Amino acid sequence: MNDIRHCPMIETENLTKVYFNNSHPSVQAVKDISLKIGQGEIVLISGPNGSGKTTLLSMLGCLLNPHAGTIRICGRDVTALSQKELTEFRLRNIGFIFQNFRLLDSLTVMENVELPLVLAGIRRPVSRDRAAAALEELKMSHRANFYPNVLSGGEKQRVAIARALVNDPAVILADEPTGSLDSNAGQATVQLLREASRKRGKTVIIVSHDERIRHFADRVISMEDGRVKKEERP
Amino acid sequence: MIPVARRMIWREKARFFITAGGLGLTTMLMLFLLGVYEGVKRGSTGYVRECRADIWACESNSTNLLRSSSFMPASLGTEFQKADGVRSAAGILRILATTKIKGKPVTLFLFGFDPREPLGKPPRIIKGRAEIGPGELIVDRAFAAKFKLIPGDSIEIHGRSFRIAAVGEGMNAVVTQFVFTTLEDAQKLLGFPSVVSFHLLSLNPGATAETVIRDLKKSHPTLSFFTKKEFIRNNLDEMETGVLPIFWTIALLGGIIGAALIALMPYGSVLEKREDYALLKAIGARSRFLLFVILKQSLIGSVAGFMIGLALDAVLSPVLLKLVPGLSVVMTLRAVIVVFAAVLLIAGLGSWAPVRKLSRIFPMEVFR
Repeated sequence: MNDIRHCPMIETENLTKVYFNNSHPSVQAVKDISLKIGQGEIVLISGPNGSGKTTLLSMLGCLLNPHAGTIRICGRDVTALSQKELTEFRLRNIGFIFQNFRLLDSLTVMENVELPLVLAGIRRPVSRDRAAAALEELKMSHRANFYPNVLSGGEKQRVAIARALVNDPAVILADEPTGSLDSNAGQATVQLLREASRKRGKTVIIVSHDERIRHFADRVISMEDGRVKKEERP
Repeated sequence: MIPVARRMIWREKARFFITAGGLGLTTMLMLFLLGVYEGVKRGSTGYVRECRADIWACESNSTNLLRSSSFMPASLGTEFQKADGVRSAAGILRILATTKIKGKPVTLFLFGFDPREPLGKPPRIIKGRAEIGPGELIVDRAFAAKFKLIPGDSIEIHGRSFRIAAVGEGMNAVVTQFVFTTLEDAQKLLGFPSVVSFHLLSLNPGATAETVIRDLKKSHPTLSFFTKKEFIRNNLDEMETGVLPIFWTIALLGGIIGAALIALMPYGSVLEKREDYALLKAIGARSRFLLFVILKQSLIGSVAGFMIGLALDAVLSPVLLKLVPGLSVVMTLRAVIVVFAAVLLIAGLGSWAPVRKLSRIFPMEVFR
């Protein structure tokens, strides 16, 4: 792992985010955070509600612009990119996993997984083959033509992981990935993320309250009041 | 390609069918209005188109059959007949006559023509005979249906009994229907035996209306002369001045209602599926992709609404025509194309509000 960390996948410098209310600054959600996260590293960001975890994750996922500071992902300063460029960057380099899975109910499992490929301009049958391979890898092929509403929580999260991985992004961001799952399904989800990191060299950043995840992480960053309170290696 | 828009619509079938049904009714209204408009247009100009006159001569400042008065000596016909290029001339008299039919007061647009002349005869006869004699009338099909009249029935006009000899078509201007009698009877009803409203001229082969009119204007500077085409246009203009603004206002209201209905479907979808759209943005859907998702939803709803409207119009128009015989509805391909274009415009306009709403969804909302 140490050699991996010599080459940072994500690097932030003095990252700050302020939320405004009627043009007046109301909350400084993230304060002056500087981080280096290496390729293939699994980082858990923990902390109480309102500590700035999700805001930090949103900025690392290029979903939210910081007010100050810089973010470099794969060596690229994403804070200098336009909205259009950020959309393209997310599509190619970042996979997302959410607590509530966020699968589109109107699409089948296969189509949900295929969606990032279609958005990237990959046409059928290549997109379908790649989505099928991703589902196969996550042992969800038998559910390919089902709609998400008939799947269990664990199955939904597997599909969400397949969707996050299908475009072969360098970074996986997961927001409370075990929050809506029972302990077995939660364990399996974290194991899949670990495999993605170890086998494919994906950088995985997880925001969670779930203490069980600590043991899977290479590093745990504890946040409080928008600042990094503590960094530890379990 | 994944049919995201179609799947989103199909997920909310009830909303889709309510929207498409509402737009279908709007489409039907627009098609029906255009059909009535075409019917009025044809009805109000049918006589001018089919009475075989190449030139219409009338009193100065008189421009049309419908809403201008013209009286001139019947004897002018002899002078016109002698003009270069003129083959024949015939006078017609148009008067307004009030009467009561089956107890209801009715204003008749009565035309007197000379049955012996080839010019000025009413358009298509569908029942009875065209060669009418004194005390006889030819009425329009819609007029006959409205008052349940058949050949052989009698109407009293200004104290004199007239017998219906025939029923014709192409004389229904919706606001009124033309009734034809002999020129002599019309002149008697007016009380001036040697007066006509218009002289109808037909031309010799090779003669042009423009040249003949130029010569006639020199010899009769106080009269107006119009080619058939000009006279049709004058009648249309006159009719459109009164009727068209009403049609367009109703059609515009229908269009606005349609746009509002169409907007509701994707707008509701954007509101309810806010997180889904945020997810699409988060995972890298470009603005153009999302715009197409909204536009496709509007378009699918609009086209479905149009098809429903077309079917409703085909089914309900004949029923409505039976209930209101005075109406004349003519469906043309042009009207269908115009309404389809309007529906496409409605789809575009209906997309504006949801697209605006969509632009205010931030990808970060996916974390909510």
